[in-house]
Amino acid sequence: MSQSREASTGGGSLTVIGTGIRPQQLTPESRHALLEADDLLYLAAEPGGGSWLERLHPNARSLEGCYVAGEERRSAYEAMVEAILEPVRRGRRVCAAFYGHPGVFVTPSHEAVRRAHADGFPARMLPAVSAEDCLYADLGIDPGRSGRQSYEATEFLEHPRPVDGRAYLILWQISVIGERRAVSSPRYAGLAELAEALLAHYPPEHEVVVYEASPYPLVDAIVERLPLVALAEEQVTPMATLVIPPRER
Amino acid sequence: MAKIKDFLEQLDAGTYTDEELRERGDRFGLDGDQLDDVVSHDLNKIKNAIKRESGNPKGQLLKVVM
Repeated sequence: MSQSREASTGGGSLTVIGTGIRPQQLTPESRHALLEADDLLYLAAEPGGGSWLERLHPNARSLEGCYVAGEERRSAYEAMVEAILEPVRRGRRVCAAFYGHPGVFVTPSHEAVRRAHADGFPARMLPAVSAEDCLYADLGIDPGRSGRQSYEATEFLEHPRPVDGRAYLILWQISVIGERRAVSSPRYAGLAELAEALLAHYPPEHEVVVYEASPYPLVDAIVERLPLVALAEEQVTPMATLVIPPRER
Repeated sequence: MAKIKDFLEQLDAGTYTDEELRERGDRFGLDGDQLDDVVSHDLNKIKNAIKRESGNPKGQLLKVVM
């Protein structure tokens, strides 16, 4: 961050970090940024989550209240961006922490950095451990060997892409396909639609994996292997991801 | 309060035998059932225990971010 920009904006700054999927994955770099900040605003993966962040920082505040059940999620993201930038504009050094990697599947983090820059404040994003990083470790997949395609599930259905049968296909947020509101339970109807779309590319007996990284150390990830044809009936967990191994090796 | 969750979150990164986990959990104040849940290493079982402890009647609020 340049000194001249800090001087012109009263010292306010923004650092966006990711906490990783579990607390033990917070990187030393991110921990340092967190501890150096005047204010910490955070978004945990579940209600009441992130209490460990409040033990780390005396001025920690959750962004959870920005979500209103039944409202479009983009309204929540706008509220989060403004909640993050308000103290920056008052000259505070703000750290915004999101679970996982702050730049992966996180709309308000990118927008907050963009607006902070536009307003002349120093702003940066630090890398972190994402769910995809955990997935490779837990499932023993090296994306460098066969390649991988990775899409948000609703995006994959609404804007179909060519499927490479020799690569892994990873689809995120399969529990809320077609759902743009903040909701409190999975929307299973979308799974049938997704299974139907995938059956155009894979045989019914093709094995797929429903995966969820563990948010706790020493606790196994959820790894459910099932034939593609059974996907429509699967009661997936809210944070589930679908992994489809290559059709051809 | 979800004591299992607090215990797991404060655990130092590392490798522990189940016996070591039980000892640490015991010192943290977990009871026998909670210790059994911890050494099960079963995410579904632990999530259910946490949900019971935190008394969250609404279930998990999805925080998908996109």
